[in-house]
Amino acid sequence: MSKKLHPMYLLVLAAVVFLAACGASGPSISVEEAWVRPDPLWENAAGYFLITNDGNESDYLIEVRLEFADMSMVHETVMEGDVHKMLHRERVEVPAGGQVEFKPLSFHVMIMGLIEGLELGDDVTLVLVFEESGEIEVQAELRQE
Amino acid sequence: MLKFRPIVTISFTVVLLAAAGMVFWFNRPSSVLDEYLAATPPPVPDDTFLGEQIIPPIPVPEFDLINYSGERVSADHFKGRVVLLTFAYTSCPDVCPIMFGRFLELQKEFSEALGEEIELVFITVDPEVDTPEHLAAHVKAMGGRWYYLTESLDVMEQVWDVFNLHVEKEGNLVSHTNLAFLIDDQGLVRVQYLGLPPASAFQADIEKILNGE
Repeated sequence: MSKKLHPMYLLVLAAVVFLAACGASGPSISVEEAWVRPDPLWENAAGYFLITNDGNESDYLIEVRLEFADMSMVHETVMEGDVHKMLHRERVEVPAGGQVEFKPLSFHVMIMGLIEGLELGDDVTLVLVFEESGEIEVQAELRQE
Repeated sequence: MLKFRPIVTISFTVVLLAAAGMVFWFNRPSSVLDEYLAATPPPVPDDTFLGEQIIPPIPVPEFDLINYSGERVSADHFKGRVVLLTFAYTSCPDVCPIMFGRFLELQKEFSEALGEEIELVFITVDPEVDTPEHLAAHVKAMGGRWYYLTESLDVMEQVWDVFNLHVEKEGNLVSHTNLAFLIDDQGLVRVQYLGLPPASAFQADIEKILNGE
């Protein structure tokens, strides 16, 4: 049997969440919109997502672990003169109250040596490791664009 | 209550709108198009190309490479056809897929003329991995109707050099200049593109060349 919640309950709940948030300190990290683009030969791939920090202190992405490829590394594509270069980033800051978007031509997870048997539309698991927040696991869809 | 004359009210409104417009403009999200526009001269007059026009046009540098099909291909091979030529490598994770996507759009737009009046050409910047067999698998997987040319590292280094392309390999990754060239049916380089222009820019310029401009 379903019952509708009285609006007052929701108000109280919202107030509790709000008060709890006010009292908390440190980073508060969430990761969404994760996807992985394989190359046409399914050898390598790039991983993208949006990291949000709703907390009041910075956190740092230090590693992305995965089991569907041989290796992964956090990279940033930057322009040096007329050349697109991919630079290895060991520590990516997600500032308090800020977002860092991993997207084409910017930050991305370089993924090399994909395992066999993957298909477009499959979900794969990325484990993002943060200095303060620890491991955050996300599902990423394999898609071309 | 204070009352302003209409001229004051109008002036105030105009200033406010202009300020709002500036705030919006300077805060707009950057896009690939912005990057392209930042990397190339703004295309103002109607009769110029969207890429950087080469004046006077220069003959395409000589090359003699191997297509993914195994066929040897020289610069002369393309005479009589308009060619869009660029550089890429198959295991490129972040940047090249954008250019492959643009070329797929172009092959759709020029479906009829492709192979007759127009050719799309990739030249590898990673010959050690991009053997003809590897390229053939890539072209097939992409459904590309383009040439994809390679050769030994020695030969490729000379080709990159004559096209003024900076190529640097570190581990499995290759950094390279994002350069594309539009060559007319006489074998003259007419337009060059730095960065990753949208397919529509290539399309507009190809149509201009086809129309004899």
